[in-house]
Amino acid sequence: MDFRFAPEDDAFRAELREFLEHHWPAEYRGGNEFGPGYSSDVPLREAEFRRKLGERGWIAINLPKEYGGGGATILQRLIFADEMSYYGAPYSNTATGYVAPTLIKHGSDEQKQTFLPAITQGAIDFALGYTEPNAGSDLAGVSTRAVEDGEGFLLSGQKVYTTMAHKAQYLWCIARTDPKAARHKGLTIFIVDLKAPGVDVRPLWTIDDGRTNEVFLDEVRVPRSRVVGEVNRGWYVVSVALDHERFNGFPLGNQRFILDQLVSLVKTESWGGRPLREIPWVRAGIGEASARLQAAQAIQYRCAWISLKGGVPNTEAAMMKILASELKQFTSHFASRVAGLYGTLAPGSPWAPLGGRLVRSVRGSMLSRFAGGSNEIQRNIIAGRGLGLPRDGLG
Amino acid sequence: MDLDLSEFQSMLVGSARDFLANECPPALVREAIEREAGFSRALWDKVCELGWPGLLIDEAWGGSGAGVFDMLLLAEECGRALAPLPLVSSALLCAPLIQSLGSEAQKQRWLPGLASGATIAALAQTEPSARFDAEGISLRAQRQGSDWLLDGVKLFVRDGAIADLLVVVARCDAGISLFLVPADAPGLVRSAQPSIGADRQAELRFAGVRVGADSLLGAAGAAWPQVADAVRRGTLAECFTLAGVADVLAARSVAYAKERQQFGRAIGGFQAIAHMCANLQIAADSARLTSYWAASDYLNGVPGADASIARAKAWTSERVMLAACDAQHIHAGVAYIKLHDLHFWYDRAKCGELYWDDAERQREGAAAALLDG
Repeated sequence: MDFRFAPEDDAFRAELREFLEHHWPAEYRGGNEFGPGYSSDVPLREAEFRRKLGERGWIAINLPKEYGGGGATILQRLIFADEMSYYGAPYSNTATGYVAPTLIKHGSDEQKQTFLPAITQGAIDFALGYTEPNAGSDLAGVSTRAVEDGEGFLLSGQKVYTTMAHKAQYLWCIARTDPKAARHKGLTIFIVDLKAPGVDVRPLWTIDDGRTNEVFLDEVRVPRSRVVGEVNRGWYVVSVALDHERFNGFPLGNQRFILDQLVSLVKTESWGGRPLREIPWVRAGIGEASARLQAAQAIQYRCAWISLKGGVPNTEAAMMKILASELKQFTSHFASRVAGLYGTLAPGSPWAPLGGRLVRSVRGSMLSRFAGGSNEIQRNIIAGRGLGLPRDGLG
Repeated sequence: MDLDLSEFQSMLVGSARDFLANECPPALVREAIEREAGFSRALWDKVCELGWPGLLIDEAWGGSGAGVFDMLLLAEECGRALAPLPLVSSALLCAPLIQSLGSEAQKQRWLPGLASGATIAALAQTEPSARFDAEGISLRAQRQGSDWLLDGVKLFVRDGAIADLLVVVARCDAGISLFLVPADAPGLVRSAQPSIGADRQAELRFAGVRVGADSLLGAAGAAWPQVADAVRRGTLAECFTLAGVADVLAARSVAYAKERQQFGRAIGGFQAIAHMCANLQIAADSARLTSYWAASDYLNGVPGADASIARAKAWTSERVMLAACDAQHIHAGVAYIKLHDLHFWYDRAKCGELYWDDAERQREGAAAALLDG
């Protein structure tokens, strides 16, 4: 039993940290795209950062070399996601961690040739078009329709919370091709060009000053060559893709960052003439946050280990997602209590501690509880798939 | 990184689990707790045949020279089965102290018996001060000629009620020292203390207990580092034990939730119960993994291992106790009745939560590592 990383993995982490310190310096971190303090040079910084990542071969670090990826080991991929998350570096896992592995498994030769090189070069990105106003946790309830029309399909419907849709070139979209079939059986995956006629991307602003979108599809023409896998077999493709998302979908680096920030605040600030570090309940909260982090990391390492051995971490990934999101919520709210009245101050106030990051993180911490499969869905997975409890009431 | 058990460890765990399933059923646990003050001599004799007491003792002294992690895995299995045995006290806490600090004569005298299990040892560290640090030790050791006189009170001494040999942590003019004291030494009065975990606790009263120079283990005043190390091993063993306890709490609750019918269906089909079961399994798996991690840090000499142990104990203490509450809740009335076995695991969870410091105190240790450096 050995939880230590190998020296070459530690060296990789050190190299990555140095790179991030240099190319994504402190003043870029923790900011949000369109919140207060947003400036027009953010997209330029991000593009420049992406170019630098490309120079190191780190854009598609997880993909096999034969497809132009970095060929990193699973533990290096874990380290990569962890540190990128720690530094708040702009990086979307969707194309490289989700779409590309699914295309390698289910895509046609033409799709692989068209999309994989562009993904590995960082030239294109994808947004996930799963969630709809009436299909959230119950994804099989999607009602976006795809009707065969000549050499392709016409897609009509509405997607929501389509993060990245305003930046990406393509939508990885699930739609109903056979309305008469059972709910899971009439679905198909399409790659939709977000510039195609009939696509309308509208912003939705999040409570932590981020941007997501709703995407309206009005008879959008999609050629048959953009069907991933077989028609009406989309649910199967999604299930495989979700397993990819599970592996590195919840990097804990951001949690380490918040805890480090909190520790530095506690070590330097006082309240009522007393250093925060000497107040027992403050110390208890710091201890609890660090214990929760260790538990979540332990399960994350277990997930990586299962993947490394060729398995798919199912219930383990569900556990990790629950612990990570509960940790995030605990740490964010605890940090704001430590700050006391200062914890009320939002970005824009020069008095706001940590540049207003506390308020943002109190708001943003809600996301992880319901996103990526709500914690209730995760518990259903553990109870049903893992423990064999009756599944009829478990979604 | 290697998160698999070694071949030897897998075999050890597999055989231990089979053995305890057969030889330590809940009926034996109940018998031991209700009629034998928490100790099954018959079961001890059987594990002696398997060589468990000598796992960490060198082959030269009749042991098998296995590793601490192997013994921790046995602690996990004993937690699963609630084995009423002094294994951790004797084999994990005391034997390594004698092996690392003892003179040839002391090893000769004590290690073969400890390895065979004929001798049971207990670590007499804690006192009415109820703490595990050096400041908690006030039992006095004073030189008198070539002998030593021991005066003071030990309390919460696990397995103190049944041990043949007590490894006594005492304070002399030079500092913390260890003494090997036979349980029948004149002037020593011990009285068993009932405890929620049936862990054979005792109060030990030392009134001018005279022991010879050959009882001093290691150099006078220099023993604290080794005692602190025993505390680390004990804390880890408790974490592993709790992980085993949690696994059973989860498995039994899931089984009951599948079988118990209300409103015309198994209650495990209701999300409120299903999610409680999921939380039980999360507690069990996270307790096990975070404990394995802490043990890996400790055994590999990773800097910050003490904080890792503190985090693991904080997490397992709290989560396993909550899991035990949920398990009792899922079983409801049926397990509130003493005839049901579940409360033995509930009781053990509480004892393990508190022993070697509970979550409140361990969180302080974890915080100190981050804030006071």
